[in-house]
Amino acid sequence: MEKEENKRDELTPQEESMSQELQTPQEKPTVEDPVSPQEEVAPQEEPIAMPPKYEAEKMWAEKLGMNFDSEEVEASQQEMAEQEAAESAQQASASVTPPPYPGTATGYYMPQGMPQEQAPEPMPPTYTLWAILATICCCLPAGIIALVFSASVSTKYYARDYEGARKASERTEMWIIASIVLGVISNILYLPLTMLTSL
Amino acid sequence: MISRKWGKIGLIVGGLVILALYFIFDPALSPWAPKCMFYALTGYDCPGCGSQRMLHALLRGDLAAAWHANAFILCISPILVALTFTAIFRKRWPRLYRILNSPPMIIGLTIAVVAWGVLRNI
Repeated sequence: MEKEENKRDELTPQEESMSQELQTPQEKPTVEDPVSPQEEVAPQEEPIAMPPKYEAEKMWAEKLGMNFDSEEVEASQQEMAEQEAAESAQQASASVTPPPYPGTATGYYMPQGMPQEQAPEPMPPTYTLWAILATICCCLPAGIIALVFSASVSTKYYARDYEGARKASERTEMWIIASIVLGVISNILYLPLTMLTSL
Repeated sequence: MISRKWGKIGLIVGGLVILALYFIFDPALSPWAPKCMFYALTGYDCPGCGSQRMLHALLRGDLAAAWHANAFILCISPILVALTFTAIFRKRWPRLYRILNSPPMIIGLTIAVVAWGVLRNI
């Protein structure tokens, strides 16, 4: 048993020569590295000596007879940097909320003229049909005003004035209701009004 | 408030009731039909004057009488039907809604209504 173990530990003559080869450092073929980090072609220039900060400003302040407070300037600069950082953070967070896509719960359509840009809100309803019916059936002047606002909803929406389009839609609805109410009132008061005007 | 489903059903039922009333009663003879204040006050026809008689004649199938009553509304009525259609099915056919409610369309309708109101009195 011992003899066998000893034999296993010892290397065979072949293995021993191989191990000796690996241990001796062989001369590797050297390849000239064309981009070797040697000294640069152009000698590095010394950095330009900068004058102390705000020296020019102090000189001008002296000449103009004004007070130059370097601390104030630095504080205001830091404020501006903070404001810009806050604004960019706000913009980044605002762009994260997904705009409405066609076919969502609201189901409103987005204008085709802006394929890249997503409109922040779908087009508000124009109430075209109601405006026309209110004009011809109920009250002519109020109905025409409602028609004018109804036309302005579309024009303002395509001009990307979303707030104005929403307001125009609300005003259209108001004038349609006013026209209907005036129509109903004028029909109820038809007889008294005709008697008044014939006097 | 009334839920949207009942609101839509109410509108459809109301529309059908109005059509049935205009089929049964002749608005020129009935005292219950609403009268035009513009005509009563000025004596001139407003753009909608005669629309009730027109609807009655149309429902009864008399196109000539409908034309004499209010030719403009007779010609516009397919557009009005299309407007109701697109307003109801806005989600399904958004492009049609966009075309029918575009600024040129609405402005054209406004000008046509006013022009008819002026021209029919000459």
